[in-house]
Order: sequence, then structure tokens, then C-alpha cells
Amino acid sequence: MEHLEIIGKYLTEESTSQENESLLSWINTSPENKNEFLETCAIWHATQIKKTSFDYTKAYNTFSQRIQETKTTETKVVELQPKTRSLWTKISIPVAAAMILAAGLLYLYRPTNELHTFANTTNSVETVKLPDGSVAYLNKSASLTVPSEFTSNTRPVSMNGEVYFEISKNKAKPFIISVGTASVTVKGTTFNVAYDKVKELCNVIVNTGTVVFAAQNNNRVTLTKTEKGTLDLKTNTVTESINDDLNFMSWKTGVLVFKNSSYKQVFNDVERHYGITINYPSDIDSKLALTATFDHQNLKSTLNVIELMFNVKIEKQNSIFVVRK
Amino acid sequence: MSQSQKNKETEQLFAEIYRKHYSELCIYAMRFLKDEDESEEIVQEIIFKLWEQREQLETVNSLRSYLYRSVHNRCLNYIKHQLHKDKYSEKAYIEMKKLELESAEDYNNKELEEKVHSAISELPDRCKEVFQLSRFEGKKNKEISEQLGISIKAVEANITRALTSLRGSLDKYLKVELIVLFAVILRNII
Repeated sequence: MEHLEIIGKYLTEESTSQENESLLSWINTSPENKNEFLETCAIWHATQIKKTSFDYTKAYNTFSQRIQETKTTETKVVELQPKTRSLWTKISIPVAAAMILAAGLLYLYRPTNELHTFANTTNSVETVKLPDGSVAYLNKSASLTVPSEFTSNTRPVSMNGEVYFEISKNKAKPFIISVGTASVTVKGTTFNVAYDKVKELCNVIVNTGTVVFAAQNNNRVTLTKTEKGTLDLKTNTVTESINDDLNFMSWKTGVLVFKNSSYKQVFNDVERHYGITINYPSDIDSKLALTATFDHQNLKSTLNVIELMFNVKIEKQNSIFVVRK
Repeated sequence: MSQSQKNKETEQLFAEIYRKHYSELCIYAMRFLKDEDESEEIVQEIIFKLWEQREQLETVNSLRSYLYRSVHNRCLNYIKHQLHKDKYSEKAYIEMKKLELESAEDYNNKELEEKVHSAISELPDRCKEVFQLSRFEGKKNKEISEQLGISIKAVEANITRALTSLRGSLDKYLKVELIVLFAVILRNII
């Protein structure tokens, strides 16, 4: 009985070193004791916090950025500071001693036009001004690589994650975004590109103007206002549809809109907007729908309204929000 | 196979590792480390190492067991390192964590999990409450004592009580497990 108390303390990380020592010598007294210790640990671990979920998409993005940095050492990585508005006004270049040699080599073989990678490691939306006056808004964990000047007869950039573009018009110089194996070509327009490497999907939603969205095999669609192109990287096919995602830009505008939206849609958009996970029971009333606008609301008040409208309780359990009837 | 095709396959493989295994590996690491960030860092580091050795990936037989094994070893190293940094090097604690880690290789015993969960629901109310706060919400004894307005001693007592009772109700199951294990060992000897 007494040893179980110490095992309990050991498992809750509350045991003193004397207690640990006496527990260990008890364990070593007989195989039965050792067995009892291990069985108790097994029971303890079988009740491991199951609900904890780790954000594998975010983790994958971190990984992906890391291998990208390893691969393209010739690309300089400029990490965005929270207040940085433009590369051209404020550049911070971390210089590590080991980089000096690399810098020397880079100088010898220096490209005429350097590439800069902007990686948004902050928790908010970051704005990047491009050399042609275009503006890119980077969502959390997004990254964008641009040359310091657009010297050729196109404007090539590459990106990862989710970016909203406002491209200044230049008919002679198309703006071309490489995203995964696909490309998005525009002359002057505003649109959103979201690339999910894990799900192997790339979505382009157009706000104004015309956008050409092409897969590697040249399978392509031309999109205009309110249209959405989806590229499935597994099959390399691009499909075109009318955009029914009211909140595709909520990450940038801070506004969530629902118009008679189903509960599934509501939970889905709230999850994406606030970066949370919501679990709901499968037997929820499928007719539940919501019409509402949340303008820069915090998570708590949004959930409050949803609780009232759907007549449910939403509780936070560890890192997950659980919906109860 | 062309290089770019190979690169694409590697990229897809790693995306799949994240999709399928990342979360469960972190949860597994949490058994021994308690710290979410630390657990994630260890898992990230292991996957990155795997990527660095991607040329030899074909030689890894079972990716999942390989990943678990690596997390397992890393956690052990981490614990040793932590205790080394801590000048009160607690040999007894390391020894026990090691025993625990070694026995915990059976990382996915769904049957035991189900049995334990149903046994928990049979616990007396207060006892159940304390145990759930400790296990499901990862609360420290002190936090539980403050939240429930009971003494730390009472929290400890309830945890002991829960463990005693859970062991009691799982006794039969655990014994059967041991008999099966024994039979396997015997068969291997004969």
C-alpha cells in the first residue's frame, strides 16, 4: 500500500529523491514488485491525455521551411519581425560566424539578382511590399520568395502556405507565382492562394481581375471574380468552381460571415479562422444553421454567440473545444 | 527514376509522416517529458534526421516502429541530460524512467486503454475527479488541491486510491496478459 502511494507520487512527479531511492530498492527486491511497478505505470500511461492534438500541418510547414533553407543556401532568409512592413526599409540579416565563408563563396558566384525569402513566423498577418509596388499579405507560417528586382520580362515569385496578392497592373510583364508544382499567372488583380502541402491541395480564389492557374502538365483554368480553382496535386488536375467559401479571406480581413451556413460550415470556418480544433457529436441536429457577422471578435465571444444560437455548450478540454448538446 | 520524381516522392512521404504519425509521436513523447514544446521539438528533430538520411530510407523496415524507437531513445537521452544538468543527479529516478520507457515499447495497447477507461468510470466521484484532472488535463497536484479546495495530502491519497482500485479491477486482465506472454516465451524456448 505504501509503495503504491510512492508510485503515485513518482508518476505525478511529486516524489522526493529519498522516496525515489526507496521505491527503486523496493522494485529491485523482487520480480513481483517490479511487475507491480510496471503494471501501475502501464495503467497510468493508458490514460494518457488522449485529447491533446498537435498541429501537424503547422509542424509540417516548419519542417518544410527548414529543409528548404538547407537546400537553397544561396537564398538569403530574412525573417519578418512583427513590425517590419517592407524589406526595403528594414532588413535584418542574421550573420553567423559560419556564414562568413559561405558569404565569401556567394560573393564570388553572386547572382546578379538576389532572392529574398520572407517567412512569417509571427502569429499575425504580415505585409510584404514587392519591387513592382504589388502587395502580398502572408498568413501565419506562409513564406514568399522574391527577387530584389524584376529584371526579366516576367515577374517570378514562389510561395508556400497561404498568401493574398494585390498585384499592380503591368500587361507587358506577367506576374507568375510558383506554388508547389503549379503556377499562377496574372497581369494585375487581387486574389488568394492557399497551398496545403499535407493535403496536397492548392486553392486559388479570385477577388478581382483574371487569373490563369496551371498545373505542371499544363492542365489549366482561367478564373475571374468569385471563381475558385482547385488543384489536386495527387492527380495534377485543376477544377473550376464558383467560390462558396464566404470566409476565404477572413484571415486577412478579420471578419467572419455566415449566411444561413450549416453547423459544419460554421465550425469549419471558426476552426480555420482561430486556428483551433472543434469536436462535435455526430448526432447534432443537421438542420442547425447560422446567419451572423463576427467583425474582429475574439474567440470567446464568437463561441458564446454560437453556443446561444445552436443551443449547445462548448467547453475547452486541453487544446480542443468540445461541443455538447 | 528521375531526380525530380524521386524528390517528389520523398516530399510526399514526409508529408504523410506528418499527417499519420506526428501527433501520436508527440503524445507518446509526452508520457515521459510532460512538456508539449519539448515533445514537439524532439519529434521534429527525429523527422528532420530521417530526412537527412533519406537516401538510406529504403533500409528502414518499419517506419512507424523506427519512429517510435527513435522517440523512445531521444526521450531517454533527454531525461538523462536533464538530470545531468540538474546537479542533484537522481540515479534512482533515471533508473525508474528507464524501466518505464523499456516496458512502454508496447505503445499502442488499445485494449488496455479501453479497459482502463471503463474502470475509471467505476471510481468513486471525488477519486475519479482527482484522477481525471491529473491525467486528462495534466494538472499538478497543487493545482488540483487549489481547484477542488482540498489538501495536497488528500489529492495524493485519492491518486493512490485510484491506482489501487484500477489495479484491482484490471488485475484479471493484466494476469491474462502475463500468461499469454509466458506462453509465448515458453513456445519460443520449446
